[in-house]
Amino acid sequence: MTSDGVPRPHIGGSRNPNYLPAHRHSDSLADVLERVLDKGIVIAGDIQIRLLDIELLTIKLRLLVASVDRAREMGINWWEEDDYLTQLGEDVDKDQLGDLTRRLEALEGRVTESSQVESGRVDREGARKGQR
Amino acid sequence: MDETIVHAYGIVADNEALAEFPPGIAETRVWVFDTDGLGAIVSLLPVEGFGVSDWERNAANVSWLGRVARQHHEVLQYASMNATVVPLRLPSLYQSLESLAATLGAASDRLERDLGRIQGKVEWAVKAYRTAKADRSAVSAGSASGRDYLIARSRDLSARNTVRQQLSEQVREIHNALGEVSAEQVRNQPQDAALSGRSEHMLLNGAYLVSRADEARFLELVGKIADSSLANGILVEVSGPWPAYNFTGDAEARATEALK
Repeated sequence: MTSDGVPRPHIGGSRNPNYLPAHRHSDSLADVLERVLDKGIVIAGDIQIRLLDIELLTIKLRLLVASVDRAREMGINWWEEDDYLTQLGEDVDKDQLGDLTRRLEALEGRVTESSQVESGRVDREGARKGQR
Repeated sequence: MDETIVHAYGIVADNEALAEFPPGIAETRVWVFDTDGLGAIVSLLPVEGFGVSDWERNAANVSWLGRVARQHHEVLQYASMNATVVPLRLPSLYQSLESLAATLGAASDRLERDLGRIQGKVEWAVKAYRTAKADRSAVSAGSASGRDYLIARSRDLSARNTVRQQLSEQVREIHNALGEVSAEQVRNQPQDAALSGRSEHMLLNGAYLVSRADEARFLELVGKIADSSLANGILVEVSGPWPAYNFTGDAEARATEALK
């Protein structure tokens, strides 16, 4: 290392910048917090303060970003990339949606019919009241 | 003069020259306080705003903590560029320089062992993420019936499990290969998306203690691995050099424990 404090260039950085993105000034806050709060040596002196460990801090952050809008503001949107959560939105086309809606309506109709048949007049009145 | 409290950033062997520190926490002046055989990198913080109650109150205040953490880190980063430094965990507070000296005296064996362990070495961090490419699999929507849907879904899930196992095996190989060029290596818990702010799922959060003589070889290997992994849906990134946070004290043992 140079003794003047100038960081050395990343070796190979010019050959393939894709895998060497991290000049030290771009160290992410997550990386810094993970290290300074959770690593390094503890020498207990006459004042002892234990800050949150990183797990607890992460939980707090999760609560903080519990609102979707707030999370997006902070650049956190992992669920939008999650296949399980986005598959329906991306891949179901209008026809399929219409088909599903028709099948749902048909099923609901059958449930209503059968409950009317089984429960008699009092419950039907109850159901009608509920619909108002 | 206003009341102050001592903050220690790290420990160096006392004969090392460190002149131009960046400002410390609360923009305070940083210097090396020499004790018997060891030097402590310190600054005096105003009790007003940085007393014990302020630290406790701000323990989960991300913007306060983030600013302080960066200042602590910048001081250690500068020191590690110019000397061998054992980082202290944030915060390391002492009533006075006398009490700091007494504490260091009692811990000098541990500190000297750690200084020896990281002498002439630096920490590099390598992370691997699963790209969207590795995720894509057959789509189970559009099935004719609920039963068909469940069958298709189950096929998807089993395909996903296979992909997951392959990725996990590849990541283990990456970590081991990098370990071959390192003096020590450790796998930390992958960062949560809430913390990293990244959409990609983190597969590897590795730290590597690399001898300065092997740095070029290490980075060249990272480059090769990054190039060949991308086709398999793994994005590899490197950052550093870092102060040896992960290779002092018991950090390594705790990381291993956390992964179990």
